[in-house]
Formats: sequence, C-alpha cells, structure tokens
Amino acid sequence: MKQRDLVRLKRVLLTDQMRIPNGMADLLRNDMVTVLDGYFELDKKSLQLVMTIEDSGLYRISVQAQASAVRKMQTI
Amino acid sequence: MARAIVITSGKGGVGKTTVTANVGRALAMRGKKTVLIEGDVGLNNLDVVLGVEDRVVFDAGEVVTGRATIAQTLIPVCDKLCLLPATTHSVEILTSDVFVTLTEALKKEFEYVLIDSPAGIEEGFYRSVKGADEALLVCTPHLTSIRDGYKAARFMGSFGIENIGLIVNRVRSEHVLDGSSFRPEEISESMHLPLLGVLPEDDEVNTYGLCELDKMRYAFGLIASNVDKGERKIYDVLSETKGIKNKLKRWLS
Repeated sequence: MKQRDLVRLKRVLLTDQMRIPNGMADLLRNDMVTVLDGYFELDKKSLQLVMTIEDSGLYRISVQAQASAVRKMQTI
Repeated sequence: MARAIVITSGKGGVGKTTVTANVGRALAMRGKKTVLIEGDVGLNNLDVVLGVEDRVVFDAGEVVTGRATIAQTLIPVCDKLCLLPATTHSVEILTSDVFVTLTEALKKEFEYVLIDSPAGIEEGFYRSVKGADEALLVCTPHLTSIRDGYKAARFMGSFGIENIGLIVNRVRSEHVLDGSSFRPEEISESMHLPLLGVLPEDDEVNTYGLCELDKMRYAFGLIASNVDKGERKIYDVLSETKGIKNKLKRWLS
C-alpha cells in the first residue's frame, strides 16, 4: 500500500484511541485564549491547538498563537 | 482444556460466519470435537452457511426455558462438528449471562467452542464476547473494516480478552501486487494484533457456505492449525501470481 494510505490508516486508528469528548478541543482552545490573552496582546483567531496520540499512548498537545505585544504587568 | 473462541469483526459483512463455519470444520477435520454457537441471535445465518437450516428443531432459547436439552438441540454437521442454533424467537431469553452458562456447559463436552458474533459493538457483541476466553478478529483490507475491527479489539480488551488473533479476509493478490490494497502484514502491524490467517478473495465464498475450493480449504486448514497448535503458517496470496501460467494470464488481462 502507498505510504500516504498507511499513514492515514495509522492516524485514523490513533485518533479513535484518543477518547477526547466532542467539544473538549473547543473548550480547551477557549481556555488557552483566555490564559494567553492575560499575558499577550493576542491575535485570538491565530491560536491553533493540535492534539495527537503517539504509538506509546502518550498525548502530545501543542498550542501555537501570535501576539503583537506583551501586556504590561501590574503589581500590587 | 476446552477453549471458547469468539469470532468477531466490528464491521458487518466481512466474513465472520464464513470463517466460523470453515474454521470449525477444519478443526473437526483435525480430529477436534468442535461446537459452533450462533451468537447472531436476531439475524442468524450460521445454520444456512452450514447447510443445516432444515434440521433446526429446537434452539438455545428452548434449552434455557427447559423445553429441550442441549443434546436435543445440537445439530450434527459432520463428524466431530455440531451447531447450537439460536433463532429470532430467543432474542429476549438469551442474555449475556445465559450465554456464559451455555458456553461453560459446552466446554465440558467439546474441545473447541466457536461463537459467531454479530456485527457491531452493542448487546449482541457483548453477549458473544462475555463467555469467550479468546478471539479471532476478522477484517478485510479496507480502512473502514480495519478501523471497526480495531475498536472491537479494544472493547474485547476491556472484557479481559487479551488473546486476539487477526484474520484478514478477501485479500486480492493483484491488488497486493500493484500496491492498491493494504498487505495483511501492514494491517497486523497497524492493529497491533498477531496475524493468524489470510484468506484470498474468491467468488465461490459468496456462493456457497462451506468452501470446497482447494485453496480456500487449504487457507482455512492453516488457520485451524495455527489456532490448535499455536503456529503461524499464513496462506501466501501472492502464490496465485507466481508461475508462467499466472504471469501470462495477468499480461493478457
């Protein structure tokens, strides 16, 4: 079988194993926006959240976002 | 010690019943006393595949209600091979606990108890799997079948069935050769299941129940041998493409 078909098969099987409830990715994404927006002038639409599962069963979660500046920190 | 093996797949139409019937016969031909249990209670077809549908008098449900004994209900198919039928009438009676009791009773009389599971992962699947010690997972070289089979295997793992052997059915040698189909070894590796058998695609399988074609009998015989002796002899589908005669046939097609 062609390599891309094998990669697709493995991706489908791994994704099925993730057991991440529907909508969880959206909730997590919104939380990430809230957290990062407290520190940066965040381009909220730029935030990308990718969750994958490795052959070993470990989850890999990566968050990528763009910000135009760091927010001023206020101390008491 | 007797072994109860469920034949399952997740996806429907991949050949579970055909595999159950033919592996059962191959085990019987090896001299092993074998009984096949109809696990697809609502949509039973094992009797038809075995060619004994006209001989069904009682079914498993009537054993439970006391109308018949197991001995009266069992249908002899050939030497050392019997069928325990289950018809639509018994859907309500045959719970998973009842199936466990029946399986345990049959394990005292037979060396192999093969349970033909229905498709899906709902109640019928649970009923078939609960009484089994191990499993044969049947799939075809198609993404949908592999995906569903993988899910079924994971469910069985949660029921404590760890010994699951993979049978890849309907493998077309020409598709394996030109790279348009997954190879059985690739499927086995992706599903993390040991490959226990490969069955070539053949139109005769769809026409008749018990396969009389030499190559099919040979392939089922290898699976029975692997089950019985723990071997790993796999039918070589590419053998059909070898030789001058086959090469000529491919060039001319």
